Order: sequence, then structure tokens, then C-alpha cells
Amino acid sequence: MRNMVKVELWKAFHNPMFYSALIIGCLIAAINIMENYVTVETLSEIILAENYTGYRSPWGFSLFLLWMPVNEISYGKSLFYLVWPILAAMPFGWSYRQERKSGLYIQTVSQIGRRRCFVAKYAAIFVSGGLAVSIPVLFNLLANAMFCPYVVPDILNLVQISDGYFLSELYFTVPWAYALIWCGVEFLLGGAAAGLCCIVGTKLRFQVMTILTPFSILMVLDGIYTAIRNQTYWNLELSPLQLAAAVPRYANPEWVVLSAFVILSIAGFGIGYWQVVKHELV
Amino acid sequence: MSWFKLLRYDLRYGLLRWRYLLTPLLFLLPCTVCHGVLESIGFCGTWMDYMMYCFMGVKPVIYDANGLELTLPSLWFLIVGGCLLFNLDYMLHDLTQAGQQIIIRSKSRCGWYLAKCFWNLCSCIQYILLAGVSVMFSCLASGAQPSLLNTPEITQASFSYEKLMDTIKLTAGQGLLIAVVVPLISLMAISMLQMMLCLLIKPVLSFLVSMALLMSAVYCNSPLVLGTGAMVIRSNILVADGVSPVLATLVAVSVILISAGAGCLFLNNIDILGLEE
Repeated sequence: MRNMVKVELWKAFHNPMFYSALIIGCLIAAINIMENYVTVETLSEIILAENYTGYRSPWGFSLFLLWMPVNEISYGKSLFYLVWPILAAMPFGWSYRQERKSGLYIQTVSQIGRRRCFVAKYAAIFVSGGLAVSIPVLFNLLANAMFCPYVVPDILNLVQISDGYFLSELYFTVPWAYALIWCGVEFLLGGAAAGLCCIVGTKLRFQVMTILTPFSILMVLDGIYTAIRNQTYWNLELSPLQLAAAVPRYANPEWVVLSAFVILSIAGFGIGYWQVVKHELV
Repeated sequence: MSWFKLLRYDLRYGLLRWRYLLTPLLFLLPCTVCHGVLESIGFCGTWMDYMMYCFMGVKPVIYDANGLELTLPSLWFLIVGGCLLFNLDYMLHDLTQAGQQIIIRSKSRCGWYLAKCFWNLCSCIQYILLAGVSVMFSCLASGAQPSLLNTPEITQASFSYEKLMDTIKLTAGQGLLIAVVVPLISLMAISMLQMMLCLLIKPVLSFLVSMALLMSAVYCNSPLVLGTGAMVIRSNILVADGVSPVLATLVAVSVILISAGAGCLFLNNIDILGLEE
């Protein structure tokens, strides 16, 4: 089993789609970096002119106010958190369908069985999808850190994070720890979203439609939640598509983020298991 | 083989697909939200109010010290992205299946691609027609009038945009122009661009480019950005600094023509046997 997981991971990390997803993710993150660079230059001039000496962040002048998951108006941020399910599914979400079609899957199943084969494949899809989402976010953090100052964010800054948001206390006290934990959250959500590709099994004829399955599902869920929210006025963000951003439209307490991860994982693994192991017999 | 035979094949196999049945479900979501808004202000509304709400979009982002708020139009992305997703794979599906035989028999790659272009335009028209019918059913179910005239109070309340003009009572022609025709032509243009890009890059990348274009429309209030025309709230018929529907249509028609021409050119120079599914 362990060898099978290793083989699947090797395949996931050594294919052009994984690198494409990483490059596209980093390019979108770079858009945010460029926008931040312009903002920092402008704010630096204002701060120098006003001779500001406080230790708290004036206006938006802090790494942790400009970093992509926290930034509220950046184009790079909006685009990244719209297409992240596609980036997650790109590296390896298509592999089951492709291997079934080429016959490779049948060879593997004949040696280790359908169940183990599916578990190994799901693990590889999860890890590669998680990395495709979390690496650009980490890259964005480190690249922004090269020119944005480390200033502890203040509740008076124009930041939406407040009580009820994911680890908000940590954000206003140890922002670096918050940022690294958030990269981990991105990994989990990216992996869980990539796993949704297993739901369709070999039903879709085209690789691209399999890759776009998680995106379609999350977009529809987002639309349904928007419709429900307009009737109920809940102040909670329950749309998995929006939860990938640290500052979604509404509050994202820890239990909501973790529940979204668990539900997406169970849906991807459970329905995928039924589809691949029980339904689509070799 | 006559070009009309190719077109008839595409219209028969490309337009009668199960996925179009999802269109009413997609439009049910904005209609539900619109119904909630109408109930809260005590109006019944009309078909035009519902259509305008579906393609409302979002007001442009203003970069000033006070207004840094940005709300992404989730439902607009859903209905516009839905059309692009429906049209994404048909051309490749055909190119990797019967299309190769058809190209040989018709002796013209360009003719085959132009038939696909025509299919693409018809597919967008079908999507909007299904949308209109779905919205009509939603209207009738919620007690709204099947009228082409908008209700100014509803437009004011649902758009809640301080730059709306004082007179927002539209004629039927103006309403159809900004809520049906211009969004349709903008959708056609993005869909044609996406199909042309599918010949150059992987389809998933061409879909990403489409999404980037739609996101650009949220940030830019210019007729040169394709998705802007698909947003009712950006039209200069409703807002003072809006985009002219005529200009948005001209840009979209130019993109349609350029995409068709460039697609023919690219298809003549690519190895269609080497295409992956």
C-alpha cells in the first residue's frame, strides 16, 4: 500500500499539469504582489511625508493586510479565490479517468485490488491538489514579505477580520503563525476540493470536464448559499468556494472552515469510493 | 459536402444535449434572490425586472479612501460561467471523433470551423432563450407580470447604486437591449474567444482565460473588456458613467469576427491527429 501511494505521488509530482497549475497559481499570486508593490510605494511616500513613528500599522501598511488571503480588493486575490478549485484539480484530478482509458488502471488493480488502488490515488490527488493551492499562497506571503513591512495589524485598520473570524486573536497577536496556519488550511481545502474529481469517475469523456468538476460543484454551492443567505441574513460564510480566502464575505469561525474541509473530503472520498470501487467495475 | 450539411450536423448534435436542462436550475438561484428583494420592498415585479437582476453584475470598484468595498457577483459568475462551461468541449469532442472524417470529406478545415462558430453562436442564443423561459416560469410562479417594462422602484432597490440616473423607467426596447441583447453578444464573444483559444492551449487554460476576463470586467468599467457588456448595472442607459451598449456590442462583434478568422487560420496549421481528448 505504502509503495502504491509512493508511486501515485511520484506520478502526481512528475507531470506537466502539476507544474502548469503551480505556475498559473504563482502568476496569479504575482499579480497581487505587483498590486501590493504599487500600494506600498504610495503609502511609504505618505508615511515619510507625515513622519509617522507608531509601532502599529497605519492604514493598510503591513504585510498581513496586503497578503493575498487577507487583501480585500486585489484583482489577483479575487481571481485566485475564484479559480482555486481548478488549480487544485489540475495536477492529478484527471488521472483516474485517464488511466482507466489507457488501461493502466486495470493492470494496477489486478495487482493490489480496487480498494487500495483508489485509496492511493485519492491520497495523491489530495496532496497534489493541496500543494497546487497552498504553494502559490506561501509564495505570495514570502514575496510580499520582501517589501511589505512586518507591522502587527490593528483592529482599527481597514481589515475585515474581527471576532468570529478564523483564529482572529492569533491574527492580531502572532500574525506569522496565523499566516502559516492559513497556508495549512489552504492545503486541506485544496486537497479536499481536488478529491471531488473522483465523484464523476469515468462518466465525463473529456479530461477538462473532470478537472472542472470541483469548480462547477463549488460554484453551484456558492450560488445556492448566496440565495439562502439573502433570505436568512446569516452572518456566517458557508460557501466552500469563499472559505478558501481568510477574509470571506461573512465570518468564518474555525468550526465552519474545518466542517467544510471534512464535508468536502467525505463527499469526495465517499462518493468517489462508491463510484470507483463499487460502481465502475473493472 | 455542402457547408450547410456541416452546420445541420452541428446544430443537431451540438444543441440537443442534456446539459442545457441545467440552465433553468442555474437561473432559479438569481430569481430566488430577486424574489426575496421584491418581497422585502412590497412589489411583484415583471419579467424584465427579473432578467435585469439576473444579469445585474456589480458596480465598478472605486479606488478611493472611503470606498474600498468589493462584492463579487457570485450569481453573475455562475450564469455567465455556466454558458462558457456548456460550450467548452463540443468542438474538441467533435474534432477528436467524427470531425476528422468530416474534415477529410468536406475538404475544408475552415468550413468545419465556421460551422462550429455558427453552432457556438446558436448555443449562446439557446442558452439565453432557455434563461428567458426559465425566468418567465419563475415570474409566473412568484406572481410577477410577464412584461417587458421594468419597475423603476425595483431597479432602484435591487441595484442600490448611488450613480443610477433619476429616470430609470426603461422602454421595452432599452430593457431588451441591456438585459438580453448585449449580454447575449458579450457571451457569444467570450465563448468564441474561448473556442479559438482551445485550438492553441489546453481547454482548461482557455477556460481560465475566460474566467480572468470575467474578473477583469468586475474591476474595469470599459467597453473594451468583454464581460462588461453582460452587466446591466454598467450600462450608460442606467448610470451616468456607464458603458455604451452600442460600443460594447461593437467590441464584442469585432472579437467574434477576429476569433472566427484566427480560429480558421490556426486550425489550418495545427496537427489535428495529435490532439488529446
